[in-house]
Amino acid sequence: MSLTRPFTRHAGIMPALLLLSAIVMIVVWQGGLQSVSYQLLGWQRDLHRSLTLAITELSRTPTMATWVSLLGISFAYGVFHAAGPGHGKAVLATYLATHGGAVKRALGLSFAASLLQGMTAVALVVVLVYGLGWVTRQAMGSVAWVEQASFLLVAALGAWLCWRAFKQLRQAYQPERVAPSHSSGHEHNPNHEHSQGHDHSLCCGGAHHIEPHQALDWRTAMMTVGAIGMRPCSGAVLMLGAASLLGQFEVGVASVVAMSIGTGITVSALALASIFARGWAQRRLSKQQYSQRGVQKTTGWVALAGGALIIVLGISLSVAGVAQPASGPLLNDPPARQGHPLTG
Amino acid sequence: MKSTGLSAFIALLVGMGNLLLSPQASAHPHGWIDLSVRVITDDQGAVSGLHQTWRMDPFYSLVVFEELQQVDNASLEEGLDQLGKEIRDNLAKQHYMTEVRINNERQGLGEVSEYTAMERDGRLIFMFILPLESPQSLADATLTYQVFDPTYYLEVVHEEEGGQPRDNALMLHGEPACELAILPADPDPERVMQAALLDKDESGEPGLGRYFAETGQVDCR
Repeated sequence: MSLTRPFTRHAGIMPALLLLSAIVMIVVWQGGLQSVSYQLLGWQRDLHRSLTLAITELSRTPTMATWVSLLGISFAYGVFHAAGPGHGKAVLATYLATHGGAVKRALGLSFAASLLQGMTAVALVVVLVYGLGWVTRQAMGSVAWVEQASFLLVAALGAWLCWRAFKQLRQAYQPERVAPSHSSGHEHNPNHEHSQGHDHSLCCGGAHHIEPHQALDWRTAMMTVGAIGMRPCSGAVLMLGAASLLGQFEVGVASVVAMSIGTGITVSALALASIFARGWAQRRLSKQQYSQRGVQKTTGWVALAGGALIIVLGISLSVAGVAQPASGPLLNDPPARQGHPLTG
Repeated sequence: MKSTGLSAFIALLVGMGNLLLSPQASAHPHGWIDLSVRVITDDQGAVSGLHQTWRMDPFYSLVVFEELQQVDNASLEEGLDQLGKEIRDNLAKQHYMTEVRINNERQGLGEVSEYTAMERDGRLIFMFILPLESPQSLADATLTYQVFDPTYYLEVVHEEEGGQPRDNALMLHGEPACELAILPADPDPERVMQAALLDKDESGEPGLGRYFAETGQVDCR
């Protein structure tokens, strides 16, 4: 995959990410999570303010120093911005934890999704503001629609993963004997079924294991990246709109790219954590001397559960998203373009 | 137990889901407001209201002005008048984002009738007088207030310089002589986390904004 190639070349980034994800996991386990999140929120708002001031500063005095400080702040903002809760990370973590994948693949997905997220914001401003002449606030309003599309894509991804898990399970249960008592194992409620999967572990092994190449399916990768990356932050749209009003659109774009790289790093750390969690669980499973077949069944059920979780995620986000204001508490929502052709 | 690995894994997944699945996932400020407040008192030292000045951040201001300039056949003045009314009406639905307490007792608020929106140095400024429902004597009393956007879309902070609130961020002219202070937000991180994770309808006091609100304090004891 071309996406992952740059990261293999820069092998130095790997230990850093491993370290970062290790720190994240230690913090989570020690219960220090709450004070850390509070600290993160504090940093986020300081950085947000610095960012606005840095772009304003750059529009006045474009020097090397102001550029460096802007890009540095944007990068840091990206790192901390992504450290909060977010739907993209939930989808990616669930997907990787329940479906597995190589470290390289996790990194590729994380960075591709983060960059796509930044690019979506840029594309929105280019098309809507420059192309169609909308005002920035209307472009911000359109984020809600793009978000909805992204949530539906999340649900679709979940459905797709469920379907694949279903196929894997069918394969795992098929050839030897299809005793009537086992047919209940094909029910769609995954939560009740994990233990049943183990009952089959006494069946002879030997059925071929599903290899990771199937998980490396590019369609799944594209869907995951799309579902996560399609959703821009309305804050990014606001920033780009304001930067273009200052005549500094390219500065805004540079800042968004730096931000996306920062976001990619944080998301990668989480992605790696999910993969290690899966690896750890898998090692435990294999120590318990399951047959290959049993492992295949178990991973099938886990994959199905993960797919179902992602469907629920997409739907609940979609429902919750409808209620959110597009432009903050002070102003009415901007007039929709299509609705008022005369006044707009 | 055979399935310990698996169940631990599922538990981890559920935990992760809880952690990441916050309904207020986008709850970080998209803009900020620089606030200054003048406490309005009469000759007897009774407080009748708060004169508030909100200075919107440069980007939010830019975007709002962009929209005003798009309206044909209207001067910027008229646009600002219209905008001021829109902001007032929206704020009225949210109790002007202000909570006032005297000796820890929550005060009722009246309706805002005096307000103005203007442009200064590229910033949108909204000023208004927020009357108390009934004037209260400040003698031997402590008044505190908080101004915040519960959704935390906008962050409200007192005017500051070099990390310190400015002297004119909180003022009281005339009677009585009181000690003025702006206390930084000092929330319990655990409650912040809960607020971030709570559903809008399952919590009494939803929203992150409250936990990041500064407190203005007028101590006349």
